[in-house]
Amino acid sequence: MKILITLLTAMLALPAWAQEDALVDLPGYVDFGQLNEFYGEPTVEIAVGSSLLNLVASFSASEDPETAELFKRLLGVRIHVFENQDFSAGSADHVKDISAKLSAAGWESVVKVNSADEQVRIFMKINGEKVEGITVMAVDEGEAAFINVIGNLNPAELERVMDNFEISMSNDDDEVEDDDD
Amino acid sequence: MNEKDEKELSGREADINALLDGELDTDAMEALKAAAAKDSRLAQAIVEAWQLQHSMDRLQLEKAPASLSRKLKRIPREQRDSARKWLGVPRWAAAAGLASVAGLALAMMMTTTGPVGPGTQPEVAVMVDAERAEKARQDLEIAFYYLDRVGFRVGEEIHDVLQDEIAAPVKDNLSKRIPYTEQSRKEKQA
Repeated sequence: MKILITLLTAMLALPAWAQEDALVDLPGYVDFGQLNEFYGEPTVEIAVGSSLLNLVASFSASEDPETAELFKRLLGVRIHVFENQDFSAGSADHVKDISAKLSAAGWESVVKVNSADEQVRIFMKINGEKVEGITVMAVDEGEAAFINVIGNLNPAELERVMDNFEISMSNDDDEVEDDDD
Repeated sequence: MNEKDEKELSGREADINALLDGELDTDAMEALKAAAAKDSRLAQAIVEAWQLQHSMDRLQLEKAPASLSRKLKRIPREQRDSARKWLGVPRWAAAAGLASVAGLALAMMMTTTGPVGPGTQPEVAVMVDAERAEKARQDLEIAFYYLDRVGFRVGEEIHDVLQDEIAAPVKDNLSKRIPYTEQSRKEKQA
């Protein structure tokens, strides 16, 4: 029975690549290139398109109308995470290459961290008063995360959405991760 | 769908129910699989019945709507006797059979208009939508977790490089654009 449930559950949503295809032409979309070449197989790969965001919005409208309103204005959320793998020597250059392309395409660099063991870039695509996308690239020795939030969004709203999800980044979590390392 | 087709599909409801209960013997399972291969409506019915059951389990509804309950009750539970035969079948064999039927049903699902099609009962459509929304919500939660995690690390980095006295005004300004970099400060205050 568990096999049946697992198989059916896995097939209920469209695969990530199918969701991602629908986002390619949006102005806030970022082509991260061939991530697998540098970082191996992803441990987390998520692409949520506007149809699913609208669905989430409709189901959360009664509980949290403001969050629902934000989800309606988002067009896509993409994330690729690579963990516990030996990244290729070109991974740092890859982040720089994508960053250069984003800058050339009019993305505004908001955060840049260049340290010996960590590369972080945060970009925003701004069109007038409107933010069309946020892109985050964070690569260190053990983890690489590539995040792209697409849509008409207000960064202040993102924080509230995170509060809504009750996301916890406690120090205890970090200690556990350090222990694992 | 003519009357004969209706009767055939209705006759399969007991098999579908037994399948979902894990009580269908291997012979009946093979027969159901063969029938579903030829009849997309039967494959669709398997998918819908499972989705209905699974959605009910996951959403923990207080009480199903009367119309939905009626639909559930339409699926007879008459295969209890044959279920006893299944007890002699190794679990791995039963599991393999279940996987086959699931795979078959999924294949049919992919080739038809999908579970939320014009012929789908409204209650089923709502439950399937709820399940998709819950899956998407979980995906978003993971995505925002990693977004927050990067913000936390960036905040820490700023603190390390600039130290507290200078970091605060820099981060305060930055937070107007990217509020989630405030997370590290909140954690420190906590």
